[in-house]
Amino acid sequence: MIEYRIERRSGVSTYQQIVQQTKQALRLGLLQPGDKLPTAREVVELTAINPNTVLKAYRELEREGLVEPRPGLGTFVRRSLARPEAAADGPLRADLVGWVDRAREAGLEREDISALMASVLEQRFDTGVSPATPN
Amino acid sequence: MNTDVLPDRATAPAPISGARRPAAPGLRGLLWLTLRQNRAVLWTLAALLVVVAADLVWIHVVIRHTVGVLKRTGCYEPETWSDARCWTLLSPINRPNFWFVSVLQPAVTAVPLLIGVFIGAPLLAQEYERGTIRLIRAQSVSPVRWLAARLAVPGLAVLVFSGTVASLMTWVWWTDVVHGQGAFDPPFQFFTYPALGLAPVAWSLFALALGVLVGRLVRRTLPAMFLTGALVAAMHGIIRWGRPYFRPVVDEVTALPDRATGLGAAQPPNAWLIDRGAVLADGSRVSSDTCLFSDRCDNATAAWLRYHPVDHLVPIQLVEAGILLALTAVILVVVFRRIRT
Amino acid sequence: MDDPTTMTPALEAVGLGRRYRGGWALRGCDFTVPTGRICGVVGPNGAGKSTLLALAARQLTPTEGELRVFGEAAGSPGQRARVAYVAQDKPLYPGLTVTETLRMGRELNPGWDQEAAQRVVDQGELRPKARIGSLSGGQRTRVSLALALGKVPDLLLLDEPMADLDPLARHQLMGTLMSAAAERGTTIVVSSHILPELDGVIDHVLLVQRGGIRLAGDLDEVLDGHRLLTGPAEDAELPADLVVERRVGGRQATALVRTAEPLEGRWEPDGRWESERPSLEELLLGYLRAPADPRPGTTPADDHHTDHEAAA
Repeated sequence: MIEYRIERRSGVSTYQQIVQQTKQALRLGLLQPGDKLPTAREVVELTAINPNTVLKAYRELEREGLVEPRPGLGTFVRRSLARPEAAADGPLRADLVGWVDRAREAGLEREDISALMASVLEQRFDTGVSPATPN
Repeated sequence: MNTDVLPDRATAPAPISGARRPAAPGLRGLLWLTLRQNRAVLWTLAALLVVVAADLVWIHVVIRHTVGVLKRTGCYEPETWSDARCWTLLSPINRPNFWFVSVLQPAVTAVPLLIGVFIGAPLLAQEYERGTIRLIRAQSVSPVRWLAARLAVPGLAVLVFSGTVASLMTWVWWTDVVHGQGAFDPPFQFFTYPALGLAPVAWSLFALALGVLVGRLVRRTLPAMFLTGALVAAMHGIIRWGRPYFRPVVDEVTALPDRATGLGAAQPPNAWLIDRGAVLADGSRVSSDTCLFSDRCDNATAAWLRYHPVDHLVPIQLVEAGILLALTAVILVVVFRRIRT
Repeated sequence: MDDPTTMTPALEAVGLGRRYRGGWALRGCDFTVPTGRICGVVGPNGAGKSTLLALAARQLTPTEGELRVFGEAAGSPGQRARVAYVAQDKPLYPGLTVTETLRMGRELNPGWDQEAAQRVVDQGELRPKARIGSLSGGQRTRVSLALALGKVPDLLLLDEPMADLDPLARHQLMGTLMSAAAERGTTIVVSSHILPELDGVIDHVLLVQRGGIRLAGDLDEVLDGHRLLTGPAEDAELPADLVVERRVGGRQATALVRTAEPLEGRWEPDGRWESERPSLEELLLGYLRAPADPRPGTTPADDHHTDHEAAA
């Protein structure tokens, strides 16, 4: 079962963190269709966050068709976000590993690489340049 | 782990609790708390009661035994005591008499004050000082019911304690002391009256209630204890001042037996002499105090005295107990009204 | 949360005021806390937060106005069982042991949940036979919260509950409180002047300042109704009546502005201005720093009315 880690000072709202961490787990295959998400009570007991936040995040996931509530049982994963291309042995990952190695050889630090990555991601996704599949 | 699901917080109103324990917060619960809170008080009173009772039984046994010996040996009548043998046989009575008159009676006289100071005053003062009154107000039980239980347990304990002590004291006084040998102990004396009959009970309950009220108003334990002590003592003074008027005194005019002082007549045994003096030639009365410092009494024609005979003891005690218990009731009403706000 | 208006609000204040011998501690307060919310009561020390909670707990009676709790204007036996209150100084009987204190809770409360109370105490590894008087401040807080949670209330009023807890205990107990809220829909009203303690926890806010309600409402709506602007200092011609607080550091100015009333047409941020949604802390600090009401023509006394309407 997924365990959420809430960073209070990250600047990202707690509700967004739950949504993102769930999607991340779905992408990485840590959560599979049919898996049960922890109840709001379980989440807040561990994270000490507002239960309404958890419910809001779960509703958001439900709206995106990722999870479904089953009355009396809990909230369950409906579909996975895992893509074979993103798997550990996929070609895309190998490309990225190669690129990161080149960047390091060029003298870039870890922070430089993630800043560069973030900026490219922002440019390609947020400005609508690329026909990205919405998550 | 329970099998709860996402509760819809908006549409599922919180279940009204109460299924777990159907019993209302009844006296059992409050009784437990207040017994637990009064544990020290109850043990102390019980221990004191045992000590006092044992003392009194010892006094009774020793005096009874000595009187028996005196009777068997023909030393019972005071006229025989000049005889050295009788004097020796009489001497064992002195210790219990002394113990009763000089230790137990003053101690019992102080009991109401001690109850007011150590049980009454801290009772609510401590709740306010420590803020636990707010803890109590945060529970489901109503503060009025809590107070009722909080007062009932020590109240009952004080009633039983003072009642038992008063009965035993009165019994020993009646059977062994006032009618006995070698002790002079008229009932209206300063340390005798408060240790007899209804007085210890009425005074104890009054002092307890007064302490509770003072504690409620002062809200701090130590000042409340001091103030309660002072007020009980003051009340004792007031009541003692008013006590002669609780019943009409016997007013007697007697012949002047002795011209030198103008005073000769004495009150009957065990009576309470309020005042006495001389009747002058013009029929006016002067107090004996005046006679001592002037020669006005030289032409006195008779002596007068005002006193309460011993059979006024019970009626005076009844009036006094009535006044004190009425005050106690008023105090309790005030305390209960105060706790609601 | 979806439609709280259909339910009786947990708290509803109308013209609420309370005066002590020294003056008004709270005056002219109007606000609502819907049922099921976790409401933070924030403000500087001495602002009236404790008075507000004590009034809700029926420890005090209002001097004027009223404070309805689940629709009832005054305390009743039924209401007493539904409301739990932990006062700031955590009063407990020092002579009782931990076990006896929980026993007291069981004896005096009909809906008592021994397991829930016991769990809170066990989590802190308290010796059951330890006398309350021998416990540390944090341990006493734990016992107080155990008493409050064991009562299984519908409304939980907590006055500075976490002040003397270590970070682990704070996290644990906040988790326990949130789990009670998730499980039973308990409304929680918690006061604090430690703002990070409330971040991520509360979804409703009451900002108490100088005995009045400065800001009240749903946290998201309140945050959405404000922007934190950063821009050049010389160009800070912001509409004064919308600025909550403005600070100039060097050539840069930061301003917290209300946007519930539209900015359009009055002031347009140009490209040099950066605009973002304030965090809870930024918002509250902005209000707390603002020395007096910035808007001309209004007095602090009726300040909260506008704020309340703007936020609600």
